Amino acid sequence: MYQYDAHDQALVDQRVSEFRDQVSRRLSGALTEDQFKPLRLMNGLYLQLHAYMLRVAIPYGTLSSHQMRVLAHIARRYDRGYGHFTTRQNIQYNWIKLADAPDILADLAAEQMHAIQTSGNCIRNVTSDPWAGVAADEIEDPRIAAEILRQWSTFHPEFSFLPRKFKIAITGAPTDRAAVKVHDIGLRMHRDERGAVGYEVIVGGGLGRTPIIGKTLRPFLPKEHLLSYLEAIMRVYNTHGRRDNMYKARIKILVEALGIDEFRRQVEAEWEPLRDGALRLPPETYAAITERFAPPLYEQRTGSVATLVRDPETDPALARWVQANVAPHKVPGYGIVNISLKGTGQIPGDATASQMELVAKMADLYSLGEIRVTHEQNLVLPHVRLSDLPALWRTLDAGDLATPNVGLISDIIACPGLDYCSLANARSIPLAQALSERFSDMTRAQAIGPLHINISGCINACAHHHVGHIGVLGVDRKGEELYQITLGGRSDEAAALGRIVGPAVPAHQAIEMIAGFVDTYLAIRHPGELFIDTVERLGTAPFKETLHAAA
Amino acid sequence: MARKLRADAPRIITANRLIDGVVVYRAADGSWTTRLNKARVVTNAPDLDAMMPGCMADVEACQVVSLDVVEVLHDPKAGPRPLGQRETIRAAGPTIVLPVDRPIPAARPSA
Ligand code: SF4
Repeated sequence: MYQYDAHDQALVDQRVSEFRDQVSRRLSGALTEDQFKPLRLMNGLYLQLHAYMLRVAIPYGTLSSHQMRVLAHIARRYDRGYGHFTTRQNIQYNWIKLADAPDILADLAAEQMHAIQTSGNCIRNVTSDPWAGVAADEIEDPRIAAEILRQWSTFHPEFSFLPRKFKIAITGAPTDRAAVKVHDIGLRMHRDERGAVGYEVIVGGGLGRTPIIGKTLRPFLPKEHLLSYLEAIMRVYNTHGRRDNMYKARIKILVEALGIDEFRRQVEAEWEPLRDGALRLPPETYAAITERFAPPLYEQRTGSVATLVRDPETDPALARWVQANVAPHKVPGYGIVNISLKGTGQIPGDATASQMELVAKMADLYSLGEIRVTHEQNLVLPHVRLSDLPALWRTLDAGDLATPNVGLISDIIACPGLDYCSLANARSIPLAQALSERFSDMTRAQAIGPLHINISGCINACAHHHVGHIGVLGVDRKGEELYQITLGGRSDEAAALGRIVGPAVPAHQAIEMIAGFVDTYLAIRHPGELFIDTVERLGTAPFKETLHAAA
Repeated sequence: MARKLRADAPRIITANRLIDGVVVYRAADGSWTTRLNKARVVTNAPDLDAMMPGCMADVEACQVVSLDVVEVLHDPKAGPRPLGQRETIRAAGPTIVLPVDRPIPAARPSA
């Protein structure tokens, strides 16, 4: 795993002592709220409905078991015994006291963690494939580039006050598990005709008020130009992005306004003098970072996830869990274990301190001490020997962490919504819980197959509802919580925005509508056809008919 | 945030405590209470204006942040009640059962 060097550690320690001083000056009255707010936001601290919320960065979603134990300790000591894993591969604590925040940051820094750049108009935590480094279909570990980007963007003086926040995602595999087309910049690794590895650079994607699928800026960028090219994009954005209107300040609006061709022309012009300068990445730089992500020493083993599932000796409940939650590993005899934080009726993404500690212990026993956080709000143990799966599964089950539903209809992505969030229009969690109860039959869920429901409590789209196969947006109409449903969104390599079906409805009706859509799909799908493919093949019309039948 | 209020609508003043973010309401005695039904309700602009300097002083003294005036349902006997989902949740907390950090039992032995 990546370890801080002395420079990283000094920066983080310095930031903690700075913030300690700022908090004490705020509490003593030396700083007003207007002066203090940007400072606390720079340290990931928001004021929500009932308390402060602290967002802790988990760079590219990779954690050690030690770090997970620190997250558990913070939940128990400073919060109410739990935390919430987010769609940005971060963790949020909901019940933080301002006065405790400096101590929390100090505890985090001691285990090489922080909350820097989790908020504010800067380049945020770079997100990546949660299976990075282990996925069977991967070209190269995308965290190497993510780490290079982290070092470049952290405290970048020119890009600390951008027109608006800026999110970068990177995938190293053809199957996009990092949603790169809905980020300000998305990087898709692939090979050119000579076999060299580089990136397709996608720009101007994003959700929120104006959802847009990103456009290809450059089909192939050689690896060595990663920083210089991104620096050029950032400069064009920083100069021309709108600062007068926060709703028009994201790069996607600039790209739309200029048109992708003109935007490209400006980036290329900016890039020309930069491309062979100090930002050029020689192979040695890549090699040095690659070393820090060196794969662990795997044992010589055999076997695959598929054979384990088919083996008649395998306990059927274990087989079901393996089938849904364990993905093929690049090394024979190993599997990637996805831990669902979506137990029936549970709050999506929430984990108690004891659950975090259990996952840390399982990581030490079975996954070489490593854990990942996914943007679906689940956890991953990336290096598990297939022979360890039965024991791991039993232990996870005792901690309510073995729900066999990863990628299925009850693996619902939901933001905190109006139960916590001061920007919300409607609640997300109760609707997610009700849907999870409604679809709690795992046999049926597996028969339905992969289906993503995403629920956001407002237009900010933290739960990425526009790209949910079924998307749900909470709205407030004259004090009534209503839910607007979309169909056909997806965030993978074929990213698309969902289309609205029907008027916004109260929660109980939204549940019936969704159940109706599922029934319609089961009735009209071709054998083996996924929900999203049926919607793509037939459009929303057959689903709208269900609505009329129900009305 | 602040909606257009009818001039005679029953209103209260609310904020978050600076140190921990807890929701508080301005009481009749000029203190801050965590209980909405203890909040002072005003039904005219002069009364509201008269409350403001004290509240602003507490903002300046770093007692509270996010000062806001919100409309309430006023029941003279039971005291004010929240109007709308957001204020209901601010007053009573999340509507969901919060996770409880229980120790996890050892795994059941293998069959
Ligand atoms: S989508 Fe809206 S309600 Fe949900 S967490 Fe984001 S800002 Fe809050």
